[in-house]
Amino acid sequence: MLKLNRVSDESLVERIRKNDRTVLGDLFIKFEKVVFKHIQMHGGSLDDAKDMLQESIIVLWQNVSAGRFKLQSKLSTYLVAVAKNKWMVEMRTRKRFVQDDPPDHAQPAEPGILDKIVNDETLERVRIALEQITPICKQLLLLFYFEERSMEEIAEILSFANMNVAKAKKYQCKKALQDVVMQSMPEGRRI
Amino acid sequence: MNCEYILQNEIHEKYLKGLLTDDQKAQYESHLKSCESCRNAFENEKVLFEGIQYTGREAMKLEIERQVEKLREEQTETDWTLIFKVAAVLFFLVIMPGTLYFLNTDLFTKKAEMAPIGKVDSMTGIEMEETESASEIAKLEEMEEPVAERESSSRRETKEEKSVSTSRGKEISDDLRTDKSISEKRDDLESIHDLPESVEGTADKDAVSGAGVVESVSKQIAPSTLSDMERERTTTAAAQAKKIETGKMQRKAPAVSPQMSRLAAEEPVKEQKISELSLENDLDSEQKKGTVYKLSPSQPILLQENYMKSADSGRIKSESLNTLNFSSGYKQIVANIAPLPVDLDKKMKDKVTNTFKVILHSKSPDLINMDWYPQFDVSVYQPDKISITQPDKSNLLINFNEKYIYKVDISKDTTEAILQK
Repeated sequence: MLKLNRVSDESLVERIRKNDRTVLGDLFIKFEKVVFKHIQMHGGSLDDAKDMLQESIIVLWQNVSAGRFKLQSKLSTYLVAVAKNKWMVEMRTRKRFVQDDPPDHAQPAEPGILDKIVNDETLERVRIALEQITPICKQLLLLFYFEERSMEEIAEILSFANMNVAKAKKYQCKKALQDVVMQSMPEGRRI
Repeated sequence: MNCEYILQNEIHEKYLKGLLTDDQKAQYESHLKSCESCRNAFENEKVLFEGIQYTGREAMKLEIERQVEKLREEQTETDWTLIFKVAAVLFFLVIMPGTLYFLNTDLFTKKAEMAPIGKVDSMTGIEMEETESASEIAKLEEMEEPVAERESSSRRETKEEKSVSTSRGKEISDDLRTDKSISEKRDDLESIHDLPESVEGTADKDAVSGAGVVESVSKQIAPSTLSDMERERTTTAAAQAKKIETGKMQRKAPAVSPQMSRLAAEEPVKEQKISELSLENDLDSEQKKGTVYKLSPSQPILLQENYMKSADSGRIKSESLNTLNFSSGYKQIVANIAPLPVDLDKKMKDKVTNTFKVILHSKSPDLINMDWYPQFDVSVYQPDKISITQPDKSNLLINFNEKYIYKVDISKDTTEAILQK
């Protein structure tokens, strides 16, 4: 902990850029106090605070790896701001669900909830499908769609010859994933 | 913007990633409204995109949790290391000095322990004997019997020889009567004849006397004045006495070194009586088997000094409870061992179960004229372990429980604590 306090924001960001995933735990421990304090002060539980900090770190990771992040303020300020926005969205969502909760339980559920269930189910199918394709493909697709890294970076990380190879590989992997997901979908909902 | 352009430039992905400009975005959205196949393709892309995002997010959350858990374990280990370090520092800076402070008396006691036998004392140059094991003592005890038998047979032979050579003895006696100095020597010779008895009687008490006296007497007597037989007897008796003395010295006189006994043996005849006064009132049988220590005058007596302070601050009662007589030869030393109730502080009281004082005075004003009260600075745990020895003519060694030894200079009436075990 004492060691982490001396780690600079720049070095943490640099580690994200270099795809050093061990920085995730350091980020959490270093900024947990400040983020937890904020979330708990605004009605969140400890679990909510943990969730919000995790989400904030993911956003930071995505923005840094996508090249959208510029360190203009302290990293703690940035993470607290992200956590604050995410917590507000979360609070709004919860409030809406509570308000939309029908007084008579015999009535059918609201379409929003149904959509969410269906959407969650679809997301879970994709997650399972990603486990079924090759690890390289999974990693490549995550790097491209989740971390939004450039093809050059992906080629470097995955030790491809060049970005064209990475592009071709990405196309193959996407197709493979699509096939697996299609097979797992029910007849009427196939995409 | 048409379907072909959208597929070739991966506009679906760019739209989902938010990479399109506002203009491109507007054109794309208007195309989607009019193109069903592009809408379906967009839906496919959206499902995959959101699914991968969801998977990536969940995987990253799991990874964060795992890493945090690992870091916390490491942190706990680090904390323990820190705690151990702090504890070690505390131990060395606070606890250990504190313990040493409270145990300093024991520490100094150990420091001031007498050196084992076989080493030469730096101050006195006295070499001390090796401690005897129990088996060696048993051997000596076994050897003692034949020696006694030999002594008795020797006495019988002497009587026979005496009767045989009565006329010859008379001649010698006549010769001896004519010379005063020889007369004195004759007395010595007679004492030599009686030596087995005296050795037997006194050796237990006095390890220093005996051979030295016999040797010195045998040296003093001129060979021309003694017959061969008498010389032989003298030599035999001296040898026997020496043997007995050696055995007794090793077993009975641990506090007296052989060097001291040699010194005593070399004393001239006129100092014989003083040598005979050597006191070996060994009240502690354990001491006989114990280690003989060299005298170390230079060693500190801090423990004793501590007690001295405590004793001085308290009441001293000189009520006599027990009197022990140390007799040897013609003189007597009486040691009055009395309790010494001292107002010690609680810690000291816990340590000192009983305190005693020893008053030594002599009935022989010509030799030991002193009224010595070492009790004011002596506290002993067990009063039954006191021994007094006289290693040489002018000094007494008073050993309290093998813990404190005082050397008393008889001639100067000075007391010096010279040893602490």
